[in-house]
Amino acid sequence: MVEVLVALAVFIIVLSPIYARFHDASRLGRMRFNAIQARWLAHQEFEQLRACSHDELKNWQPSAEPSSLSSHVKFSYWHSVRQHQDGLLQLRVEVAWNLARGGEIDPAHSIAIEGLKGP
Amino acid sequence: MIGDFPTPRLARARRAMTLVELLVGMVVMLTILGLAFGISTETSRATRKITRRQHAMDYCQRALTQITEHLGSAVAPQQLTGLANRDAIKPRFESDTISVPTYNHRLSEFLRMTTFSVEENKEAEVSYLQLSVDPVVETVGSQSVAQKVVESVTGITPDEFSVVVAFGYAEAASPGHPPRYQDSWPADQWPDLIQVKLMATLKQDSAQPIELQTAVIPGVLLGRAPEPAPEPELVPAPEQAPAANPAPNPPAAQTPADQPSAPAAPQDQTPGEGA
Repeated sequence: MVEVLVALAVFIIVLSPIYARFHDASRLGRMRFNAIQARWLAHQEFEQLRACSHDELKNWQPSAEPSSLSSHVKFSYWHSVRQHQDGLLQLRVEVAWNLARGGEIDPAHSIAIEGLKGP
Repeated sequence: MIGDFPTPRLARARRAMTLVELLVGMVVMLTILGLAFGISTETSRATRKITRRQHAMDYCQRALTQITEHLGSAVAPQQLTGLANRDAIKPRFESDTISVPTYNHRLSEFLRMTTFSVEENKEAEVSYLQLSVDPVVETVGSQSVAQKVVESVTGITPDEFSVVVAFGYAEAASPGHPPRYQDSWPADQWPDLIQVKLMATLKQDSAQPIELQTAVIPGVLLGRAPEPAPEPELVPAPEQAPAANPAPNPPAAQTPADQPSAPAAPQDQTPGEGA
């Protein structure tokens, strides 16, 4: 009986790194997919913002609260518009997933895109 | 020990295993081997699944990059001036096909029609994205140096997953309001935004399709095409005023057929295009 238990313990010890490796690969795959999705969604939000007229953007006050994307509910986004030099506007879009409680952004779970828009 | 002969007790201690012990040992061994084989098979299957998903994900990402790059280098026909071969430029804005004039970055003097559509790989029974490039040869004199190019997007014809694309077209909305994308757009108008949705479905794992979507402003320099110049008034000289009869108006008669339920267009009409 003791030998059997020892054999089982050795067996589990040998297998556990294999399982951990597989589990990590799966988790990283999911995380990478989220990052890829967020990047393209951020690009979409940025282009939609960039397509707006300069005057409208200049006078626009974006909400500080995150908004969730209707097509991808687990993703939230923020916009910000700031005056840059020479009349340019600095646009920033941040898309986050798996938001922590209180809506705090975890840098590991968010993608930001910045760009300028001229008049 | 009496002389060289073992006592009966020691002889009993060195006896061979009984049948029951052997059977128990074999059962335990088989159970362990079964577990190991099961875990190994499951890990291998899951690894293959992850690898296939990664391939499909990479494909979608490269396809989206390629599509957005081409659409980003598109040129609204209204902005093209001095073209004799204007008939070759007929944009198409449909849900599963898009065709727009673009400039080749590497051969910047060549204007071309770039088309993305969904084709079928009949052998593998999957669909994939195809990129077709038709050069609009005009500025190279008598020599036709450019050739039509048709290739699968990303250069790969997938056989493990099917790809479906959906294009949406919209005009820019106010900040904070999402644009309303439509499945099609009038060919003689230019959308402010084009949305691209890609969905790859694995043959062996159709329950979890890979979905990516983005949007792009078609064209490098414009959000909106320039307003068309106002048409010159047709009022002739004062002495011929009674003869001014504006009845024949070919452009007006042509536009309703060209614009079937067109939404509020980014640029109203483009009568100056053919001028």
